[in-house]
Amino acid sequence: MNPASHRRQPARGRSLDDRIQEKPAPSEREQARGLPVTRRDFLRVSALAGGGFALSLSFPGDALGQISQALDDTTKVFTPGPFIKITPQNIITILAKNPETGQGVKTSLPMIVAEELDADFSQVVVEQAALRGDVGAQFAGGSRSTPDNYMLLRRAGATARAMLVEAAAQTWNVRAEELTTDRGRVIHAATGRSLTYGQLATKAATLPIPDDRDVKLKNESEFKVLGSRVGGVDNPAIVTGQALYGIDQKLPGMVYAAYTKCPVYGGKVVSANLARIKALPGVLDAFVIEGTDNINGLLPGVAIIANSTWAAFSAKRQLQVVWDESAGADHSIEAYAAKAAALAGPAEPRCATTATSPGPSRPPPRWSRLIISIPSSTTPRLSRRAARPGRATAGLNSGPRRRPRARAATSSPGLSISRRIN
Amino acid sequence: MPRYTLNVNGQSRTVDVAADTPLLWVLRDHLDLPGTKYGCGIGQCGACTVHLNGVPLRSCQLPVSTVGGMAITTIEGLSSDGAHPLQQAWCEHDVPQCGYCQAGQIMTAAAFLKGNPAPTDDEIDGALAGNLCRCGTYVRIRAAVKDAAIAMAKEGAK
Repeated sequence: MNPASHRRQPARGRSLDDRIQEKPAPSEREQARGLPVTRRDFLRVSALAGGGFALSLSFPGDALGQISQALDDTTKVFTPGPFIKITPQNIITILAKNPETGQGVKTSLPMIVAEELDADFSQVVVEQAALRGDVGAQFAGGSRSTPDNYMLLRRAGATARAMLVEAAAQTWNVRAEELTTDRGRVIHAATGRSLTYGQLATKAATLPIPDDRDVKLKNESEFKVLGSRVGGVDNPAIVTGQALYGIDQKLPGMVYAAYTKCPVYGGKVVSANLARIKALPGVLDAFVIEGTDNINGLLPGVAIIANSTWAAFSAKRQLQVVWDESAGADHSIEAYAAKAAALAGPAEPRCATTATSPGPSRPPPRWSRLIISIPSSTTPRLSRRAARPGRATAGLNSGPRRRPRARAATSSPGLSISRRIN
Repeated sequence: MPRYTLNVNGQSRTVDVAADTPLLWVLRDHLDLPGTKYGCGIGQCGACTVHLNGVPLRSCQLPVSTVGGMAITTIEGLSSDGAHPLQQAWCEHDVPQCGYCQAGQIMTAAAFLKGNPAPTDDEIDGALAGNLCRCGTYVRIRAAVKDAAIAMAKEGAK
């Protein structure tokens, strides 16, 4: 395999993500709602600058979707191309809508689209979606990515394919039924003619959306892409150390923070040696954050802001905090084990009573004693954490709002911080 | 702040940083080479492995003041175009899952193969025992290192 394969996503530069980040992001509530996307009514076609063909979906009653739709045809900046973008230069781009955490969805979800589009997946450019409001719920969890998106993405691919076929039919003045597709081309077998999707893109962009009933999905036995062995689309970037992760984000004017939480849930900061910390080299500020009562939110602690990661980390080593551990102070693995032992009672065999079943030919029930042995064991509280350290990138609302593209995004702390500073 | 001139991937780079700054953070924050990853920060996971004069070391445990003029090689400098046999084998075996540890795995393996061009499975496992992978890609790592060793032997025989 050629590691420099052109479908590798450029690590830097102005990608689709950068462009769509300029669109107002939906609120967390809107994102969390994860509106279903099922109706072809919300399919729309927009002409891209340069005569490309983009097929995307928007939500009913989604104000942001309607705004971007209205602006879409007249401006370049608001031209998102969820799922599929085909340029006259025959560059086929497919959006990977869900966060990649190593489970492979940045590769597998675009494969679903490519299957029904009948594109050659090795020639497809895959672009990771930033958080956006027009592609349904974007999260990784519960093994939901494929089952929740399978039909949606198949229909998106099949609809685009049907329109490309129609564009070819009009170009050659033949019936669409006479045409077939194969790896990014529409073929008229009777005359031996074929056109690439790129050659048909400009015309396809002018066509109306076909009716649901006219868009035929493949029979699964016809699949070429799904079921084939395809390496992860990010592999070439990963093995050459190109930036892909949240912790690799670098933004203009960015500063670095280290946060020290109370070691006990429910605890609060009483005091900290902030004056000393602020005087350390590279430290820009240090302050107490009250935190929230939400155990999944930002917990109370001390933030150190510095001009480099190391300045923040080395200052954190000198941070001294007096904590009010409050009601949580009694909680520990040892305390839980002791309480469990106390509840279990003395370490004697427990007795239970049981009876043999009476039967027509049997004597009346005889009660017997059954010794039940209850073994005791404890397991410590295990943190199901990744090797990647928790991290987040947050931006102030006063500047251009950036939502970082992140492989393996742990976005919840970022959203918490965003909410507090914006 | 003291000034250090480092030899990174064959280039001379100068930085003004505190003397105790680990090489890891000099690479990531100051030299814009984020391919070297921060995992544990205590030398236990191997994600930050780089070569110093060809020897694999944990860059999170290496104060910049101790590096001097030694040749530093990071994942970005392992090959100019991603064509190192290990990088190719990693792709062919589809090794990465989340991928976060893989730069460190590859750097450790690259140094290892220089000293042991025809390793057994046990030797590979031993050499890479200090590089943790939370996704558990060890079986594919071992297969990829083996294939890379064969590819390098063929290349050397030419």
